[in-house]
Amino acid sequence: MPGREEPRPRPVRLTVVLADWCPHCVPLSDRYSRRLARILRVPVRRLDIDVARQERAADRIVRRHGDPDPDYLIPQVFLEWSNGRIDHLLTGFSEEVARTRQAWNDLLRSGWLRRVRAGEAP
Amino acid sequence: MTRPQRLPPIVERALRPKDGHCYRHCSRPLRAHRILLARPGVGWVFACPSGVVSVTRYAEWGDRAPTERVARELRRRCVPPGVVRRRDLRSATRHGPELGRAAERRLASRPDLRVRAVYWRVYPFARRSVEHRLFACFRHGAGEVVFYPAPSDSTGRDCPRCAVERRGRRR
Repeated sequence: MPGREEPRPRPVRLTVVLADWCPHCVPLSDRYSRRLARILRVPVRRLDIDVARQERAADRIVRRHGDPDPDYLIPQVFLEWSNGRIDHLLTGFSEEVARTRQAWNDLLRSGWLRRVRAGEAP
Repeated sequence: MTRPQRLPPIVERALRPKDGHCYRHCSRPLRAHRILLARPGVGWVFACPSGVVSVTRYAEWGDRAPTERVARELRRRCVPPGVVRRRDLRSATRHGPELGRAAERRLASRPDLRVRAVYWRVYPFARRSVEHRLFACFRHGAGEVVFYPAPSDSTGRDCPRCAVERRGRRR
């Protein structure tokens, strides 16, 4: 309708691409992604690359929005928005598990998350 | 396409490794060696005191993953070059929010660029039934490195370029 403002996009789902054998993924990113999802009040979609159907969805989101490679890094985390936009948030740090943990902590303390919680879509 | 740029110092500091350990080899602390791998970014080799490489990382500020360029530069530093395989190279995009508040503020000034990292990890492999690993030799000048595969129990003194240089000195 003319003059009517488009509603602000809001987060609708957090997607985590992971594998159970990966120490950057389980339990670390599993736990942190649930925490982030609680803060954002969205559900978590867990895509396990060792489960055929989930692997296809994982490959698709990584190829289109993440860090794609023949043997891509995990975990990769994505935030989906109500307007269809998908943001890549984080890829595991190959250096060490502690570095991936630090990235999660920084993400949870970030100005970006504060703005999203305040309803200011980035 | 925007030309890739050097990482801002504050971002480089945010990416600096903390403390890792050599995994399934000697468990000793890893040393981070800064190397001149490709321009304009910065390369790091994480290796144990014996020279066994855990992972090599290159990072720059750009609009696309520099994977192919990094592969070429790694091949120039590897004996034999065929050890560098595409499937062992993995890219990662780093965003401001996961790098701490200071880096987040700095990276927000150029929303068109991202921190693009490429990791090269070679897992142990068997050659003539002997387990081999990737070693790195840092005795070739500041920022220089030579990568080579050797048996896992090697002392890290089998660098093929060092051997060539020794032979050259003897003549």
